[in-house]
Amino acid sequence: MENHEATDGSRMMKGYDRLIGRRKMYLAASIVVCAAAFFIDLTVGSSGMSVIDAIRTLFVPDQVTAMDRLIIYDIRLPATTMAIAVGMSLALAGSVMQTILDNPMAEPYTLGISSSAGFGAALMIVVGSSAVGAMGMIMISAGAFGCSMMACLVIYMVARFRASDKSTILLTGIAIFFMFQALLSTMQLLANSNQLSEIVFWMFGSLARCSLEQCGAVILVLSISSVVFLLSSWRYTALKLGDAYASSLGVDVAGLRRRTLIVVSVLTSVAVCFVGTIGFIGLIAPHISRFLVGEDHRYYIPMSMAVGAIILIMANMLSKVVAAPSIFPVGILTSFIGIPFFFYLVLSKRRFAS
Amino acid sequence: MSLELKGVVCSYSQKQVLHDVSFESDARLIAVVGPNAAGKSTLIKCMAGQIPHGGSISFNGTEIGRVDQTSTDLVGYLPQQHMSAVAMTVYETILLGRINHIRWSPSDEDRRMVDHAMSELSLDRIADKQINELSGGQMQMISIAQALVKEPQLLLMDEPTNNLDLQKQLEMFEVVKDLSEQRGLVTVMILHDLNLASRFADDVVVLQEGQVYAKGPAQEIFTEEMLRDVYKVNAEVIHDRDGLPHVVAYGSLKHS
Repeated sequence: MENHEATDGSRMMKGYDRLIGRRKMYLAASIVVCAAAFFIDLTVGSSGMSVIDAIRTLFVPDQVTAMDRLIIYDIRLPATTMAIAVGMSLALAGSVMQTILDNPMAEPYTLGISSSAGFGAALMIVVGSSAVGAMGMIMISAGAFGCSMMACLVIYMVARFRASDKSTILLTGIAIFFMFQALLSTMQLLANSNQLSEIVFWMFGSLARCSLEQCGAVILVLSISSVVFLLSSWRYTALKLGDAYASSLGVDVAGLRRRTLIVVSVLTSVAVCFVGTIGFIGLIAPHISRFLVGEDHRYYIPMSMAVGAIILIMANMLSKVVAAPSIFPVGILTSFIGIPFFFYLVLSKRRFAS
Repeated sequence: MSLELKGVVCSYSQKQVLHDVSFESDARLIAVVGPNAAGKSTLIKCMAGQIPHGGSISFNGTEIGRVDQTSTDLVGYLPQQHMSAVAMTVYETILLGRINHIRWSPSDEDRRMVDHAMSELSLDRIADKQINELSGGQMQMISIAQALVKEPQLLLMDEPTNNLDLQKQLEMFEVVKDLSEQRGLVTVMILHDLNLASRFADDVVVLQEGQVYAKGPAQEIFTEEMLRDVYKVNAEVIHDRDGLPHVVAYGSLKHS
């Protein structure tokens, strides 16, 4: 009898260890793919520079022309770095939002963060049209950041007032989405044609106008947020069993939900304020991640980030080739890349949670 | 082994649900019964430290049920709601019961506790199955295992027989009885079925409008008068072949 139990015990252990081993493998593989995509993206562009030259510029920068260095380090590197940082940020925000709101459609954009950022940017484009160049860019980012933080604040206050009820949070987010959408349309109505095209271009989302300093800001917020979320991994996983069970296991459900909302707000606001609205990544990256590594948030969270980064780098690569020599807005491409994946997941038999 | 409640009061969304609940019991299996809205779930949530309340609750001399104490290992609590059926394996789900001990990776001790609970409840065979493929009865066993892996001394169950067929209900009681023998566990459970309470509980607490109407072995407190006063039904108490009281209800008194 004892022997039987011992063998049974080790069999169970093996099952779980196999599961964890597989998750680690998927995660490692996706990090490799992400790194590879990063380097490939740096060699792709509309300048006519050859792949060999691009690689030489990366590894032996003092043997190439100043022009090549400028293209790689001042134009391509910031865009690619931003693609990774923003892709990870949006996916990270989406992954924890789907968990705390227990809704597969939750993502930063469904809660109105994109439309509020869009309104903030449009307001600055119309009102602050006299400011040009760098100052204008800073004002637009500041407007986008300020408005999305305001939207988040409203959601947070409502959440506090109604004991962090998840449908209340979702419905408030949707109401905010429509409100800022209406305000955004109003700004478009008031704008002159130059301003209008600038607003539309901002709404498409673009990685082309980023600086390395902006990348630094996004990476800083992303690093802090990911550590904060990863430290709560087990609590998020418990939350997947339902509020009552998480609470019975000792998780402060309302507190966790509120703390997550605050961090998600800052994370998303910083990510969108520099690049405009890049949709869909926050929605699908978590689904792909869940499909690959399951609900264990120790793997689900980093996997979502890796997938988000890969999607946005791929979109960035495509944006440089589909309409070369001009750059196609990356925000449009993320949906084109994401939707086939998404349909595959929705329709496949091994479907995600519940 | 003794559970002692003194003057437990609790208000829930501006309505007082529990008015001075006091009782003491040293039984192994305590059933809490009573009509809807008598405060049964609220009482068990107070004991589990899920909602703030007044008065004191102690188990073997240790105070339990404070809200800042929800992570205590002394008490295991199974809520009335079902676990969401997500894509997690049985093993992973039960492992979550060790959440207050796991920093990042589960330790050998965590794994040992899970293995122990799984073999105790004969769940070994389905360890690697996903919980969204399982039946209601299996889910119930998994939630019991999840509550057991922190080695509680007191197990609180809110209507554990809900949605289980007759055989599964009996099996659940047999499992709980075995656990109390093997682990010395004390169980408090809310039950709707008075005949199951009569058969399996050592001590029954009858709640009515947030107060204890009666407390004691079913033989003593299951009376036609109690059924009339508390449940508002016209019922007869007969005795089964083991001499246990058996309630046969004939009709509701509310409309007559």
